[in-house]
Amino acid sequence: MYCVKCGVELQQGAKKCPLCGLRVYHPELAEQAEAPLYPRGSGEETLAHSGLLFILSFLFAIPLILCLMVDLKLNGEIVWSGIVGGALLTGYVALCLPHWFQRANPVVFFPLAAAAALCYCLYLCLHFGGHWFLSFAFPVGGALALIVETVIVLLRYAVGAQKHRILYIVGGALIALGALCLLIEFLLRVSFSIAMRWWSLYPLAALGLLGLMLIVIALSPPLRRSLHKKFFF
Amino acid sequence: MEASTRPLRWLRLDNAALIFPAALRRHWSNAFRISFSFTESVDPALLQQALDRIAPRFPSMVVRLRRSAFWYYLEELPQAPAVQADVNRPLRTMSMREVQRCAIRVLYYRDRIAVEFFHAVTDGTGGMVFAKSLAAEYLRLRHGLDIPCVKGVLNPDEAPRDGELADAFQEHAGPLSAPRDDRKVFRLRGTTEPDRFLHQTCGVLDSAALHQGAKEKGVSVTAYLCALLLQSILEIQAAEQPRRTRRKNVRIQIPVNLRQLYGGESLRNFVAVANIGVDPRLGDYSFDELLHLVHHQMKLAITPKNMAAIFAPNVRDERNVLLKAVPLFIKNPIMRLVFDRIGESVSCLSFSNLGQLELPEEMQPLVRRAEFILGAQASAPYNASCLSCGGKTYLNVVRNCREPKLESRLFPTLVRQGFAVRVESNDR
Repeated sequence: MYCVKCGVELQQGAKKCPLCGLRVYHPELAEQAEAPLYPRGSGEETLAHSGLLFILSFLFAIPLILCLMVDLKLNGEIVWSGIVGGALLTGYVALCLPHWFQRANPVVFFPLAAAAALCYCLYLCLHFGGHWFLSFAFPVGGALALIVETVIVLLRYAVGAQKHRILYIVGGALIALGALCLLIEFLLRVSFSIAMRWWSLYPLAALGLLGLMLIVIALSPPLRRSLHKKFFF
Repeated sequence: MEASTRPLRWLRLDNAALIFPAALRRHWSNAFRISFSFTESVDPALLQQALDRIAPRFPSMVVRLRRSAFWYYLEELPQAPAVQADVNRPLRTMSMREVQRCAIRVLYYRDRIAVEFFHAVTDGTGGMVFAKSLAAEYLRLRHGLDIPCVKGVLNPDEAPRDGELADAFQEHAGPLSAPRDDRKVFRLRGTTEPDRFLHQTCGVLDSAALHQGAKEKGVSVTAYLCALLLQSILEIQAAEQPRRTRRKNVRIQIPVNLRQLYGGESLRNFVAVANIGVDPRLGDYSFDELLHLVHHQMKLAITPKNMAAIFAPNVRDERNVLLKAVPLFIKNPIMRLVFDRIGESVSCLSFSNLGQLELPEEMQPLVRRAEFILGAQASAPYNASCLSCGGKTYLNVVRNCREPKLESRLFPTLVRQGFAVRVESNDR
């Protein structure tokens, strides 16, 4: 079998000429495909991170244990080491834990990290004898985590080939973050009696307009095309 | 003495090899591959046995790369590496971690065995001796043949000779250095494969016809193919840069086997390069003009005195006490810079022709095919190589970019010149 364009003989069963890419087709010629030059599969091995994670885990554990030991030695009970330990554990859950899994799904691991951060806030609140966890940290942190989790779920499962849906998602998230500022102002006033009024309208206006802009771009294919042409990289 | 009971042999890197570990990068290693295809399927267990048998005979090749404070060195492996099943990724990058475990790979696929060498270990000629000896030992085990140790097949029962392990550059370096030609050359470009997949396009030609074609023009096969490559690259540049005055030199690097000039039996690197090229700003070149230019440039460049002057500066640098005293972690980035500046950027690609493969008569009916391929350059996507075996010439062009610019000009030109070309490729 020959390529009619290049004039070179091709491997039996070749689908196209490797030089010019011309597809090979002969309706009356049924050829047995030759063995390929190489076996299928690239043989690339995936690099395991477990060694590095093992070391990182120990690096997290060393300051945790040292702080506990010093605290117990000086105070005879856990006083300030709980704050350090809580921060380290929260950091470990957020940064290292997902990497122990080959295909860590952020849909699962982000709520875990958020829960760890909220637990740490609860510990700080109880440790310092405050009353701000239920009235401020939990609703604000929970709402923020809900917005981020929704964005992650939508980006992961609702985008597919329709890349412009990212604009809807990010636009919606920006508007939601603006609304969150209203909630933060309200809860600050209720929990801490901070009297500064209506500051949240500024971030709400900025984030709301940005979000709206992205949604308008998502809605208009000609606008998307023109912007893509101007700003692709 | 058994390898397990004596201290492991270690060797300083030869002069040409010094730069290769420093030039190693995440997606690129300087490596080449020699393969033999037999008339029947390869038995991996027997191949492993054959490798185990011949490994002690090649203490400069069955090695790993190690680092000391000032230089890298090669250390003999206590036992041969395991043979591996081949994959559709010839010459996949040898990472530093891998070459620190073993600097060669022995692979098998259907009826083919292949050896991939990190270039710091040996050159094409040394690699061919290893591959032939491995193939001969495998065929001995498989068929019970009595294959004599001639034509580059070494006897695995003999001890390695000192001359085989010597760095021959030290002995033959000339007193004067040839000036380096560092004028800018045209660089072939393409869309880099994200995973640096190496496309191999093999053109199979009739050796007799090719020899006859070259003979009619009064040149060698290497000169003929080099002129063809130059012509193809000139055409590519002309298409990309219509203004002649802005065109850059087109030059091809031809590795020269220095054993042919100086003799010796070294199995380490003993190769220097001749840069053959033309200046396209001077006008268009016909194929016959290119042939003459290449032929005469090769004749002028490839002489013992000239080649000695080409590798003399490298040997002089290696002997420089101040350079020796610089720690390796400082030397490494400098050597890499030197490699990028003057190692590769002075030519468009390398074209290495190992010539006609000679095998003991007993092996010939069992070896169906042999191939030699170079990896792509670090900063340019192409390289080309050639080997003749059993009446066929296998001209391999490799690239790690998507567009087959060079091949799509080279092979059709050969067809137009009257050669029957069969093209095989590993395209995905």
